[in-house]
Amino acid sequence: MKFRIKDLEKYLIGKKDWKKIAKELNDKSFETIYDGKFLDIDILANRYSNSASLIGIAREIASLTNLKAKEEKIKIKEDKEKAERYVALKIESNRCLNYFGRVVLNVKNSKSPQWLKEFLKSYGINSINFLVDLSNFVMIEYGAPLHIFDLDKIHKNSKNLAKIIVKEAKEKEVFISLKGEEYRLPKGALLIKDEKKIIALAGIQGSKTAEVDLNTKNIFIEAAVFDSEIIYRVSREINLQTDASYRFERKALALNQLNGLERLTFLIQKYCGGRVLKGVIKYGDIEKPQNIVLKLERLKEYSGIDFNKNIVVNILKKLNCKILKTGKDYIYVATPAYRNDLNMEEDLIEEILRIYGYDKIGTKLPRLERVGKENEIFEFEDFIRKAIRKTGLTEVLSYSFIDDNDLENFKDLIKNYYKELIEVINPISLNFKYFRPFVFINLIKGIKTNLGYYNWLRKNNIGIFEIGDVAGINKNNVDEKLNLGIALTEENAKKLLLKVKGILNFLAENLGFCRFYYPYKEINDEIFELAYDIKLESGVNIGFLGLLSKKILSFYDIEQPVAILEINLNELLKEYNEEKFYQPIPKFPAVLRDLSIIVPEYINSDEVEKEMFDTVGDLLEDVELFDIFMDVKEGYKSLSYHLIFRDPKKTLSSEEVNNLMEKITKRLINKFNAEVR
Amino acid sequence: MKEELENILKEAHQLEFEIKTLEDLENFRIKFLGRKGLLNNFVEKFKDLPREERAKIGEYFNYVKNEIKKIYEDLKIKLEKPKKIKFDIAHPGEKIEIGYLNILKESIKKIRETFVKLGFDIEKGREIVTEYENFDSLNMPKFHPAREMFDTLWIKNKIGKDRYLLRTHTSAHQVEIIKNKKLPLRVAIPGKTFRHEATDVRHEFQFHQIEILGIDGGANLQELKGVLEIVFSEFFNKKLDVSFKASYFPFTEPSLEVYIKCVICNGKGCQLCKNSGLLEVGGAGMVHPNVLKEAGLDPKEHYGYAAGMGIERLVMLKYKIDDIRLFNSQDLRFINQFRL
Repeated sequence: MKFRIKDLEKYLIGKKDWKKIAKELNDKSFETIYDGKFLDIDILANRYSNSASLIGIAREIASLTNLKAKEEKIKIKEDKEKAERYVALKIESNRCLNYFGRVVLNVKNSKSPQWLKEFLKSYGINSINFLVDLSNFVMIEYGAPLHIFDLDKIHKNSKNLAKIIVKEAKEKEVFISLKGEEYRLPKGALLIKDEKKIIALAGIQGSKTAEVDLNTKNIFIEAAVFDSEIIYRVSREINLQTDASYRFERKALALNQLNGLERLTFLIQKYCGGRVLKGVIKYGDIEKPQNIVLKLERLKEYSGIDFNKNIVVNILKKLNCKILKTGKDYIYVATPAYRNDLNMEEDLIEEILRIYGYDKIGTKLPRLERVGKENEIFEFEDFIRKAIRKTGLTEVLSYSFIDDNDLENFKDLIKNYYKELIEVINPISLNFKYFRPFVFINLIKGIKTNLGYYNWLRKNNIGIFEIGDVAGINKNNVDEKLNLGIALTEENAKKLLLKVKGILNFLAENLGFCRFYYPYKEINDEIFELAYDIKLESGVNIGFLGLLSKKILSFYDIEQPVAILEINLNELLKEYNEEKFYQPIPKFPAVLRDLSIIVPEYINSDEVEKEMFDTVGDLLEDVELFDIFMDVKEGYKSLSYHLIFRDPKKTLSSEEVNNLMEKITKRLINKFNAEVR
Repeated sequence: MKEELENILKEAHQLEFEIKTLEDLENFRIKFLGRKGLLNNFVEKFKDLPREERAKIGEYFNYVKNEIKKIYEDLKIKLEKPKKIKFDIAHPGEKIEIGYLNILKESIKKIRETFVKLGFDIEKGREIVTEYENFDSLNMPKFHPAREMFDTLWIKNKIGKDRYLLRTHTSAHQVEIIKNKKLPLRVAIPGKTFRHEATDVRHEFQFHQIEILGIDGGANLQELKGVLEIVFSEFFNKKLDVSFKASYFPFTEPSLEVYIKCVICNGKGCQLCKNSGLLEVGGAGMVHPNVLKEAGLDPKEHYGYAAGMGIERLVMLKYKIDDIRLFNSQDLRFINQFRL
């Protein structure tokens, strides 16, 4: 909020150095910018009700400096006739906390004088007419949002008594704003009514039905406090936010409202004349000072500073707190009633520390008898990141959202993993409508952009990866997990798949698993030309890999093959055993034999290899598939392996190896109908 | 027969010292090792010997042949002028293509490591949390105006009784952490956070924060300042003093804004720090008694601090990155620059 220096001057006694004042405010109270004519002060939300006013800021400055705050004297000439003779209150909702009012008869409204117009302009408020402008003046001066009704537009009964009723709206009641616009109100909105109609939407705006105009003669001034919550909710639901609603949302002070009412009445009488009827119509209690015990030990615990009691007492006095009693280790304090933000010991500690100066707080380090530990998922993630990076892929970050097109493109895959996707009610844009179910989807877009950037270099093999949270709904719960996504591209699809396989082998090796297994994935071929699940030896499924279909590629406007891979790291971590033990370096030589077999095309090499290991056990150290030759005859393929035999206890003779080989070939012939070449 | 072989070897040894040119050497080769040379001639002679004798002589023959070959090879190396490889170092080298780690992830890692050194545990939260976790548990009931500070992305799906949202801050895990951990605790929670905010060079709707939480064991403002000073100094590789300014958050009391000396102008005042010499780098404070109560602690018996800071901003300051949107761009021209 921007305050004119020339206005603030009137509320402070003493010699003012505004540059210094601005610095003090900025360091100890609110972010403040001083430009010679204005103080632009960013008032904190919890201090709004007692600080967003000329008097509030003057008090704040007084608490930080040697200046003293002062208020203008209020002298109202009251008539003998009582206000109650004209207005009666009927409060029917407990969301109205206070309601004060005064009646002034025979005022003379007019256009505002120049000084008032200028004043309001510098606070961003348009001039309406003298009465309304004075009420806005008091809003700035006291921080009190008040409202003036034209008493003659309010319905009166036969005894000329106006009943002001505060009640909650029924379903679909309509409010007509000052601009004459109609608003359909939500149920429970707080209304000010007379016996026939709505005259104001409480705390937000008056209605045209009882609006003050240049012909207004008799007025009723309202100074109320409404529940901040209802104002917050209603003003947003109907999308009508005003200076008043902004203040009521941040809690209006009854004390301010009452003082503001008196001040406004005084100003109206001074400038517009009129008879002020006797008495203030009152409903509800005003704020009282709070009594709080401040323990010096607590202050020390929080700040690490061993305060001298006198310093603390002086700061509290500067804040207009009353010291009720002091003991050796405590101070018993009564807060000023207007400081509705001071309710507990911790609030006082904040006041003392900020005014004493946070810069006087020293530093120390934690002294716990233990070391810090990272959640294991972080270490695991780092481990995977480093491994994947070594395979030549670069780590990217992408947005955690996908759009309707992505959903449509991959819906058959998504429904294998989630019951439904998580949808954002108010997305930033339609591109970010659903929380991502997989990492890889946005990486495809990354491949596309990077191919564009690099095409002048004729670089067309790009590989990227990301580790991040993905989620969907499963079992009526948010199923959020940490996934690794990979996307890579190059001109030759076969080379690309081999690269993916190479990355997975490398990963398996780094993790200390023998290998991953790749059962063929049955999935809509509109998504993948080829797809495989990724399984561990234990049978646990940890993800999938696939070569994107031509249809998907053309959707994302990519002209060369793209392979993707997605692995759930939470599952993988469960299977991962970090312990690494030294393996003795073999003492006896290995024997290498080659074996080529012809098997039906559908036989998976994994099964063949597993069969070999099962047949001869530990003596077979390793099997390496080095050649696959498709279509060796219709429906058959040829598989060629290096077999490495080793006995840890002795040198294997060629006869022994021959026996082992024979066993293996026999088994393969039986099991797979294999033919040995 | 053996004698003959001995003589051949002797002769070879004699000739060895007379060979001066490659031509001499070639003659030597033809004479002894050539197709019609002395050794091949000899083979013709002894292949008709009885088996036993043949084996004996054969062994010696091999010895002699190897000796002569050795003479030949040695001389060849000696006489041949070493050929130098022709190479111009101006030739472009092989293009080494490796992958790089992400600057933001590595920065988070560095920050995590500092916290671990200071005795903090590092925990992982969730990006999708309940309204209770993000707001109510942090002393921000429904319709609290402070919720306005957090423009929230809400989740549409009906999931149990709770309303879900994308966490607007990592503070959403405070109550859960306090409930589940042994006291005294020191915890840092890094992670992605979300706000409903228009994006531009300085604003992004998806960014990272790290939450810092300390309860009991002397977890006060002094320690908070000490911890933050170490964390910022380590991150920027220079000693940076931390200063606090009064602020307001519903979940802390006192509430503070955390500043460091401007890393661009070293506190002298520049455009970035609006001539203040200071940069705001996070929010902090002492955990509000209502939050402690929510976590089942008696605020009279326990106290602690909490702080949160945005990570992108720190990385941008450190590396002079001028557009926050680069982090989520997947642009390799950006990521590869840092050579991580």
